[in-house]
Amino acid sequence: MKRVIFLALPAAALCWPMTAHGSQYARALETMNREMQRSLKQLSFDDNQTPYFLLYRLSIIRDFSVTCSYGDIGWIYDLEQQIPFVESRVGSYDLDNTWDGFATAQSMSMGSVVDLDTGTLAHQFWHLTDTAYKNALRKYLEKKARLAQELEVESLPDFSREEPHIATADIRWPDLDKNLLMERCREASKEFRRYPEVQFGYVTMAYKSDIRLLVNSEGAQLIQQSAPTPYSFYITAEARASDGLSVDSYRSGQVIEGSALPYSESLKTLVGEVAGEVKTLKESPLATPEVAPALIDGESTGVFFHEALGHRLEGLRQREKNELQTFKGKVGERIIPPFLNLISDPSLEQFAGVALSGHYRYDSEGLPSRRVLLIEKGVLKNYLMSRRPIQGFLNSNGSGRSDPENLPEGRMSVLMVEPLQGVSDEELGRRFLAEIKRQGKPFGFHLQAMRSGEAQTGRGSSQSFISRPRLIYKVYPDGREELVRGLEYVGTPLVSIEKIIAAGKKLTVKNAYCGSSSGFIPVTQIAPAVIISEIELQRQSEDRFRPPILKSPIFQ
Amino acid sequence: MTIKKFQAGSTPPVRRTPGLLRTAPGSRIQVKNGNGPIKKHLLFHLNLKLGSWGLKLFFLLLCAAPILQAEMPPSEIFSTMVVEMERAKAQLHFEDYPRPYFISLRAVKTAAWQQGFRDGEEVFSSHDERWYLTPQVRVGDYLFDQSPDTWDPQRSDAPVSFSDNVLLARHHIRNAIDDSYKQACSLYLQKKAKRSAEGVPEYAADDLAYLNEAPLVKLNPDVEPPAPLFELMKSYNSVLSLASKSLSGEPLILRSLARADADSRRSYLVTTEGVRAVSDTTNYQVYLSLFGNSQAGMPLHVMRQLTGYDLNALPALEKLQTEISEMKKEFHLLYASKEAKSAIAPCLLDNQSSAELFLAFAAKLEGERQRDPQEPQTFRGKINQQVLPDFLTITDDPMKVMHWEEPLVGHYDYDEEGVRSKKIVLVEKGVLKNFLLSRRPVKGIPVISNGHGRAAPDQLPHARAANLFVESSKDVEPGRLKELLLEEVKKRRLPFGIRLEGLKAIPQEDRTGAHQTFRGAPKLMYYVYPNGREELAHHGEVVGTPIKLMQSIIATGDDAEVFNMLRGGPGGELPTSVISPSILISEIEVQKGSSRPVRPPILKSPLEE
Repeated sequence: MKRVIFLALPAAALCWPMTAHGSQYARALETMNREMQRSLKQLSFDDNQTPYFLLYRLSIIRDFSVTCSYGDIGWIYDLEQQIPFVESRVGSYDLDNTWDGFATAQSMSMGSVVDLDTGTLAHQFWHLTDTAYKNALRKYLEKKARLAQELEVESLPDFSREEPHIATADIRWPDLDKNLLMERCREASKEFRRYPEVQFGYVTMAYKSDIRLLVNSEGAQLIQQSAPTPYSFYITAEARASDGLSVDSYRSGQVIEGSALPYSESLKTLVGEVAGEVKTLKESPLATPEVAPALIDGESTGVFFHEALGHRLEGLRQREKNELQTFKGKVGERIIPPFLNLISDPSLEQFAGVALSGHYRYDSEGLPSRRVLLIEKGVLKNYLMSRRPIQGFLNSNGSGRSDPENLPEGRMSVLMVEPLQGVSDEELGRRFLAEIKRQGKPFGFHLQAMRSGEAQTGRGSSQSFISRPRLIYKVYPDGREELVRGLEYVGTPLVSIEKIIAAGKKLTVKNAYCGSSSGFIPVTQIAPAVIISEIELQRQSEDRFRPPILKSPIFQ
Repeated sequence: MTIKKFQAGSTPPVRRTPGLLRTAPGSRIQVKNGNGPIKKHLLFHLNLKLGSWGLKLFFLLLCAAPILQAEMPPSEIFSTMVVEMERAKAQLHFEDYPRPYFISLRAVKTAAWQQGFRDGEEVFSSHDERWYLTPQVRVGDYLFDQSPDTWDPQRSDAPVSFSDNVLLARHHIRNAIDDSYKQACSLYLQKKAKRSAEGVPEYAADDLAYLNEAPLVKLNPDVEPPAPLFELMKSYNSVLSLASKSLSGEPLILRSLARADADSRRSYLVTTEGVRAVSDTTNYQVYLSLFGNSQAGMPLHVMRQLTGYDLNALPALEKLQTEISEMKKEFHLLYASKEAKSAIAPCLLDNQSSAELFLAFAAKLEGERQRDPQEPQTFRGKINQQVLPDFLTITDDPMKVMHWEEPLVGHYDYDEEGVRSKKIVLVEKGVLKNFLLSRRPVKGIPVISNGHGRAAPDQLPHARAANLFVESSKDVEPGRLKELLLEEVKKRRLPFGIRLEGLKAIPQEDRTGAHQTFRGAPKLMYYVYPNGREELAHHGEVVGTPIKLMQSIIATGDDAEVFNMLRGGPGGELPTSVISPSILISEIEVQKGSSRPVRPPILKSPLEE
């Protein structure tokens, strides 16, 4: 299984009726509950049993984004969507239809929002439940068939028993002013007219919010707004170096209130920064694959921990047979350097004044979010648990997450790398140079703003990860830095994390998106800069194209 | 391992009567190709008249018959190939498409034998003979031709036969060259189109190195025929059958197999540059396999593979039985062992495991990979830079026939491009000095092949390792190496170190954008505790990133040995020898293997009752 994290995707949207829908949502919840109860009691045929567990979820999504280039609107994306979702389980908590870690679900994506008060909603859930139930039954019987030959070494329940939670307070959509977003976007993108070295420059401003209604057969009833940072912006610039390889840079941000989006002037400054980086990257030399010590900034450390460690601490990865189970049975063992803690805390709304996109109150299984100490002083304490039990951890810790269309699994949300003996930036820089000299290396690497990465956690692959920084500098023992391009960071998790020798004390927040088997979800990393005594950089894939022959007419 | 090889230039162990490749009457032969036109027409005729039953009957008759057809003598095969090649060089051209500037033709006659025994009984057998024809037509010039930037593993399936019908042979050659020429024209223009859009990559180099030596002319084989393969292998049946009996008969062993594969080849190479060369090779592999499940239900597979080239010295029954008793011991140890769990630790690799690691390293030094945009090009631009610890020197010497009285299967006198084999230093005291080169040049080093263009009969040549020697100036005796491992474990206060035997590399996606990692599964993996106690684990894999892994070698043993194997890769499955010592690596990462447990048999085996 390959998991990908994309940092800084354009999220997006703005301008629907801003009235409270509370009573309408409560009525919808009732409709869902009624239909669910009917299925729970009556849904069966021949000598087959009824489902022992059902979960209904309705996601109502509002998505708006505008992308501008050189002062003009390039495209507008404006979507309202409604996604009903049914999870169905037959058998019992101990042995049900769960297959490769997942129960059975059925969902459909509706292009427009139907009236929540009409019978259509019940009809949709009726239809989905019927299909989900039949599929669940089939999976359950197939599973029993499989177990006749395959051996279950551990005897663990398939689904944990949990207390139901109810939270049905009124909810408001965050305000959206589409015109304001479009105007700000257009103004900022005009700034690219000052940078002929950029081949394409875009600014995107976006709003994305969703309301989720959830009921399950255990009694849970929830209405919640599940996009903590609905507003985002994204600035990107691309060009081709003289050898035909592409270079690019970006800036992004996410906020809670539309009013907190940067104003045109500050956006222009960011455009200038991005364009400047592209220009420098164009002229920077191609580097060759190397092994060297590295200083990686807070943003990159976050991505590094997310890929190298976070995905491997998901509960599912300790149980399913097609997973590498890297940290299975290692609770109580030291797995990272003792001067670091690792915490998952989706209940955290803000950190250092920044709104966290990974925050939520209730997870996708309807359980309240909470702070989980995953690693304390380097020693493994806990995993990211959904309701799928693993050895020694039979209950969820509120980390079951998914997008509107998928079944939840234990996932990261707000992941914090906490340094216990953090040092100042200056001290970290000094230690880094000292490490380069100690190893007698001609240079080290300074990685900045890791933009994306991926990790392999499935058996039959090597348990490795890749992280792609936006900027890589060669740092010489005298402190001189030289920007290079064409490389990415590749590593195997245990060796790489063990090689962290120092951490800074300042923490950096980065909001991002993460994709895995339960879908694309917003996540946040909070981490300090660290020194790694040895990293390996490999060549990036080539995307070569002859640079433009004539100058762009904009710059003639 | 006793192995010998008939090869141009080496002394044949036994002289045999001159004659063509013979087959004992009555042996079963599946004729895939090259059976001449008369039989085929007859077949067609019968098919019409008798329908499908008649066809089956005819096949049975055909399979039971020996090959009767006369084959041309080598001189005539050469002249037939040359006449069509020269005609194409002079005349092959249409509209304003480019003319060929270089043509080579390789025709290989192979005889292949495969036979498997279980519990003393034959379970499968296949024997076939066929011709392969691999043409190479190049358009453009030595500096820029159609050779694609990314290696294309296409195989030639051009039909050909060299019976007494010369015109028919020429007809087939004409067809093959014609196809190859048209494809070359198409690729040439595609490549020009690509360059116009993408520009020239900084690592682009000439497309074909000039032949920097007098063209090789060797019209007569050293040994008259390749070994009479089918007769020799038939006489080996009894050994294989007995070995397969020894493999079975234990309650825990669910399945076993003894299998022998052998082939003999005679290869003819002609090029428009004047190369005319014939060569003979023979190869065999004996496989012994045991299958079962561990106590915890994980599938177990214990295997041995004996590779060699002297069909007169196939492994004797005693040799196989020694291997089998070792395999059984290994099987029982693994049966009771624990499943491996993930860890990082210093690691001692036995000489066979290190052979695998160095071979994976050598693959990264193949010239073609330094200019292929889909390859990681890990070592491009690193000539004269430190890439390994300074006590290691790696050479490749295909000229060498024997080493420490062990024959080397990777030996040849000239490669599949007709270039004489040469000894090359790849890494000297840790510093990268050269790449393995076919005639496909690499930027930054002289545009000359170093005689490593190798290929299976149906493939185009690619630079490959042949006889890879790993030498160390920091070698200690193996006992000391284990002490060093324990010292490393204690120094770093680790719970254990790792010792691996018989590591096999698992092919990885190896292109840019992918995770460039080395991954291997050992035959045996031990946790070594600080007090020296060893504990076996099964289903472990080791994984690492290539540069870091190679640089973390801290010492080697003085126990280098010869390992002969058939090795897959671009250019096909090729006999390769590696001479390497055991090594100590400061750090390797262990992960779980990919098998799932199965429910063990419910009743006891009757063998136990």
